[in-house]
Amino acid sequence: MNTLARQGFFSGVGEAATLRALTAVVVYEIDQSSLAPLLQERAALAEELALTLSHRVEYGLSLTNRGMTQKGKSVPSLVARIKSLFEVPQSEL
Amino acid sequence: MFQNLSWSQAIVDPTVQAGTLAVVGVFTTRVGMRGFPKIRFAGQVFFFVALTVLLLYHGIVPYQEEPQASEAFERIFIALAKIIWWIYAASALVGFVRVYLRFEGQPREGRLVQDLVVGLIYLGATLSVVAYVLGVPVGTLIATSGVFAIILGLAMQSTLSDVFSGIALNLGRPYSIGDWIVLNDKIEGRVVETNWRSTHLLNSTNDLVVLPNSFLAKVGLTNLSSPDRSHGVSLEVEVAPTTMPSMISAVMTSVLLNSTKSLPEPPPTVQIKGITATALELELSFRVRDISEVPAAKNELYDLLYRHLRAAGLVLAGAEAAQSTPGDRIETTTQRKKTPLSPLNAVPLFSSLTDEEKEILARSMKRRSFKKDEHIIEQGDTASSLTIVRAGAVSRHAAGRNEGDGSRTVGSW
Repeated sequence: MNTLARQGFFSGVGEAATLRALTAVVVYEIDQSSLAPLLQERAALAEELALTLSHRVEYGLSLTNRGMTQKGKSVPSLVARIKSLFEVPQSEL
Repeated sequence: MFQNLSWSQAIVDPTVQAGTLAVVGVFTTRVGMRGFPKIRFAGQVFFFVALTVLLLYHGIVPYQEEPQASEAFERIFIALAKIIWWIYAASALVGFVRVYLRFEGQPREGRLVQDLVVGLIYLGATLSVVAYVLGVPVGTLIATSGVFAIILGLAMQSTLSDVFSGIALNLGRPYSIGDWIVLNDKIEGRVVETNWRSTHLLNSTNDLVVLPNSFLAKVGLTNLSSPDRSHGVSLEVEVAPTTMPSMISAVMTSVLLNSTKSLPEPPPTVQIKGITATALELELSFRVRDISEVPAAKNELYDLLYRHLRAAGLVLAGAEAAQSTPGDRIETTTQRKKTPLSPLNAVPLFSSLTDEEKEILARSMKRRSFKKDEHIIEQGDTASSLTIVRAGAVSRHAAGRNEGDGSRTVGSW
C-alpha cells in the first residue's frame, strides 16, 4: 500500500510535486490530529515511524522522485521534527 | 663510377634522387603523420606521384620489364627503385582503403573486410614485383602455386572455414558490438568483439565466451538488442478465480500501470490465457528500455502484484484456493474490504503500530475519491493529512522538470 504526502505530513515540508489521479482514485486520509494522541501516549512511536520513514525515503529514491528527499535528513532530526510537529513533549535523547 | 663524381653530378644522379625521395617519403608519412590517417594518405599519394615522375624522367618505367641488361650495379639500383615504387603504390592504396572503405559508417565491423582488401593489394604488389622487377613469368607461377594452395587449404581447413564464416557474418551483420544475443543452445551474452577467427561474448556471470565463427554461422541465434534496445518481458500469473476475470485483469492492468520500469509505449497488456476451477491464468506483457533492466522490472512487478492482489482481496492460485469453494472466498474478500483496518495493515509505515493504535487511527480515517485527472495534492502544499491510496493510480508531476522524468506513477491499489 502506498502512502502519499508522507514528507509533508511528518515534517511539515511542502510537497515537491503535484499528485494527479491517473485513474479514478479512492484514498483514505489520516489527519495529524488523529495521530497526535498516539504519539503523545507512546513517545517511542515517533522514532519507529522516523526509522521506517527514512528507509522508505531511501527506497523511494530509486522508485519515485528524487526531489522528495532533502539531503542530510537523519533519523534523529526526523524524530525531532515529528515530535515538534505533533506537539510531543521532547525527551532527552 | 663514383670516383670522379662531383656534387652537381651526385644531385642529378637518379640513384641519389630516388633514394633521397624514398627515405624522406618514408620518414614523413610513417613518423611525421602518425595518427592522422587522412593527411598521411595525402602525403603517400604526393610522394608516390613525385617518385613516379622522377623515375619516368630518368627513363625507368616501373610497370614494364627492363628490356636491356646493363651494368650489375645499375640493374640492382633499378630493381630497388622499382620495388620501392611498388611498395609506395601499395601503401597509398592501403591508406585509401583504411581511410575511406567503411561499411555503413562502422569502421569496427568493416575491419575484417578492410584487412581482406589490404591483403589483396599487397598480394598484387608482390606479384607485380615478381613480374616486372625480377622478370619471372607470373602465369606459370600461379599455375604451380595451385598445388601449394591445395596443401595450404587442407592444412588450414578449420581456420579457413572460421575466416570465411567471419566474412559472411560481417557482411550479413546479424549482430553488432554491444548486442545481446542468445544462441539456440542457450549460450547467451553481449557481443564484445568480432574478429577473424571468433566472436567474443560476455555472459551474465561476467565470463568471456569465445565462439568460433564457423560455429556461429551454423547455429541459429536470437538477437535481443535488435531492432532496438527495448526488450519485451512477460510474466505468467495464476490467480484464484474468486471474482470475475475482467476484475482480475483490471487489477493486473493497474499493476502494470504502476511499474516504473515498464515503457509506456507500446502499452503493457494483460491477456487471460485460460481458466480452470482452481486458477485464472494471466499473462502480463510489457517492454523495458534495455535487457539489463529485466530483473529489476520483474522484481518490482512481483512486489506490486502481491500488494495489489492483497488490496483487491484476491489470492494466488494454489492449494489453499483449491480447497475452499469460490463462494466462501468471495464472502471473505467482501468482509476484508469492509474492515477499514486492512489498508493500515498494508502500509509498511504503520507496521510498528499496535493493533489498538491501528484501530484508533482507522476510526478517524476519512475516505475520499478523486476522478481521473483530478489533483490530489498540489506542489508546494503542506499536507495536513496522510493519504493512503486505496485504489487507482497516481502520477507525480514536479514543475520545472522534464515531463518524462517528472511524471511517475507512484502508488495505487
